[in-house]
Amino acid sequence: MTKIAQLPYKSHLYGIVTQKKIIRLCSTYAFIFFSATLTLWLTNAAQWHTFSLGLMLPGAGFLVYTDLVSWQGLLHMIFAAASMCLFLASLILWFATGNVIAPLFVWLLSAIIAACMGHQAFPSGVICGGISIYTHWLIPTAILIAFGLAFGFHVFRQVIGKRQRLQANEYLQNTAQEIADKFEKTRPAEPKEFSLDDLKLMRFLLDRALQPIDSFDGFEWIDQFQTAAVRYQLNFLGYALSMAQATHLSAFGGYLDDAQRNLITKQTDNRIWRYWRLENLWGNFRLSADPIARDNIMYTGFCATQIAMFHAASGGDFFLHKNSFLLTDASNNRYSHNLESLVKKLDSEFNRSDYHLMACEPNWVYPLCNTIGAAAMKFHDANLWLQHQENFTHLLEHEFIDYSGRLIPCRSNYTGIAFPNIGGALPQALPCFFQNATMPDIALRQWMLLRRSLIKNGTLNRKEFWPIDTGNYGFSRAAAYAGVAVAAAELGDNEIAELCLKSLESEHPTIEINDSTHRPKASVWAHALEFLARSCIKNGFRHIIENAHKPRLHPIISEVSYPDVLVAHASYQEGVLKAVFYNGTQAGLQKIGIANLTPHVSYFCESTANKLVIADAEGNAVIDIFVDGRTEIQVYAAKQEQY
Amino acid sequence: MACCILISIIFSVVVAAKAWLIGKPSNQAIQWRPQNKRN
Repeated sequence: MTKIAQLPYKSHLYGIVTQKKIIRLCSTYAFIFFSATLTLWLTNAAQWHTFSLGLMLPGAGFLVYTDLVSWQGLLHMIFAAASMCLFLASLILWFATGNVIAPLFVWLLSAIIAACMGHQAFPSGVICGGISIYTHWLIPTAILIAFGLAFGFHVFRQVIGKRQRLQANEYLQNTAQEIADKFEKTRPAEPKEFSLDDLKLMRFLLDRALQPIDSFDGFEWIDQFQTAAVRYQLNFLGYALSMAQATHLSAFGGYLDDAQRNLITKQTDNRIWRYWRLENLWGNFRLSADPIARDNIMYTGFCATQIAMFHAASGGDFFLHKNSFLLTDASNNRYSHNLESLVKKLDSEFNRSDYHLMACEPNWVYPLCNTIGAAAMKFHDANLWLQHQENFTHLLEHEFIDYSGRLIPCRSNYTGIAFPNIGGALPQALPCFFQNATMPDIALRQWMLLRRSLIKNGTLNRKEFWPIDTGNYGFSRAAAYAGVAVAAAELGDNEIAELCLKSLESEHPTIEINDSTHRPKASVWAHALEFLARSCIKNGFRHIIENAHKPRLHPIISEVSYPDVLVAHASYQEGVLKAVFYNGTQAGLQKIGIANLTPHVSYFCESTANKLVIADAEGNAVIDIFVDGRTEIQVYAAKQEQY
Repeated sequence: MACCILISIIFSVVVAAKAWLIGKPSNQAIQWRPQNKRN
């Protein structure tokens, strides 16, 4: 029985690191505000008045010349409103791409332009319906009132928050513990088998993964900065195939190994990571294009985990080799990496960060991305992870979890400001999946807290599932259902996982083309999430990460023709290689390669055309099998004597 | 005038970045199926 962890005591709304950053930000603004106020009161020059107001608030400089009785006055009002809108847009750009220059640029430029407009006279005040309002009193006073209200709201949130935390802990101790105890029995003892429907969805992934490395047909090219970026499609296709291999196909290499390796190698294509040159320039003021050199856990950490899962599931070590993850930019600069160097970068960046969590876009720290990166570190070097675990966990708990126990999506490393908690259940659920590998007690606690809002009267609370697919920004709940199902499956909550997958099917029914299925409107990323959910079993991800670099020495299915033969199951237990195939095209006789056999030993093959095969000097053999619908084979040594 | 300049600058930057970063837009990505067998 796993005892659910409690939320730690939290005395303030913000953790110590965030508090310091917010105090620094407020102090900087206070300095600008009071300097501008003094300038406003002590000088008579119209330009300085305008500039001072423009420094206090984006676009406020234009308000000096605003009135409602002349077209010039109205035009200034429009300028002020447009400047504020532009400032908001620049904040979005800052959040979306790490462009820290944009908000400062818009703010300062609007102040300068308002000051340089060359008006001859400074008006006594804004004329509004015959009443003259003095802007040099009005704007500073309004700002002070706004700050006062914000502080009041802060105190209110703190009082309410403490109560929410007590309620959450009470729920965790009683109701949640009873529900979680039922999860314990859900991990199957036997390796699982895919249904034909699962295999048709798997083809959606394999078709994209098995095309030539430099081809990206079937991927969604929308933008490379945010959640629809192709790198995330590659990541999650890889995660899903690795999970499938670990849980259902542990004795199958062949095209499944090729597909995972291809997806990782596709990440090295310059089109995938060249966004970083821009982000590094406008966020870090650096010219380097190397996406691994600094920040960017959304590339470094995600790719490291993709490699870790591939190595764990396939038993290989391909991406430990020198130059195995080689990035070449448009100017032919080469950045040579492998799993080792990616994890080293995670190590140094964790240490460099005030939050002990690494930034994604320059200066924006996402806890989800960091839990993904942490899993790769644990897989590659468990001792190294142990050195980080305490700080990482402490700062995650105190800086990135609010009073009610919800994970804060991201926080600015420069200012301490957090992005609002939007997105419904998905951004809360996905971290539970990844955290289960490195901090399972927190993962279970977070899942149980989220679960409260997911079910109402035995059915899914649809409101919690956002109707926007973050994989393509389209209107669909597919990603939300699939993503929550992923976390539910990992945590062993089969009830939620099944409800999510049922809702996915009823709201976005599959369409079959050429024996492969897809869901209209769902993103490629959502399809990957769905297959990840279908492949995952309780603690599936945790077992993968804890299964560090174990070479696959037992007999495996090594060569199968794709898409002629689909593999639904492959395992090796107690001396027997068991596999289940379906025909992906027409039924017919197929050649199946087997590897890792004992050289020169004869093997008995049930359900095959050639009942007895002899392994060659390298331990390989090829058998012929007629695949028509579900076709099962078992291979085992006929006798121990050697030929 | 000022806003026109600001909007033009931001718009140009966004359009340039988009043109440079986006390879080929695809509305049919989900329906895509390979024409030939794997190489």
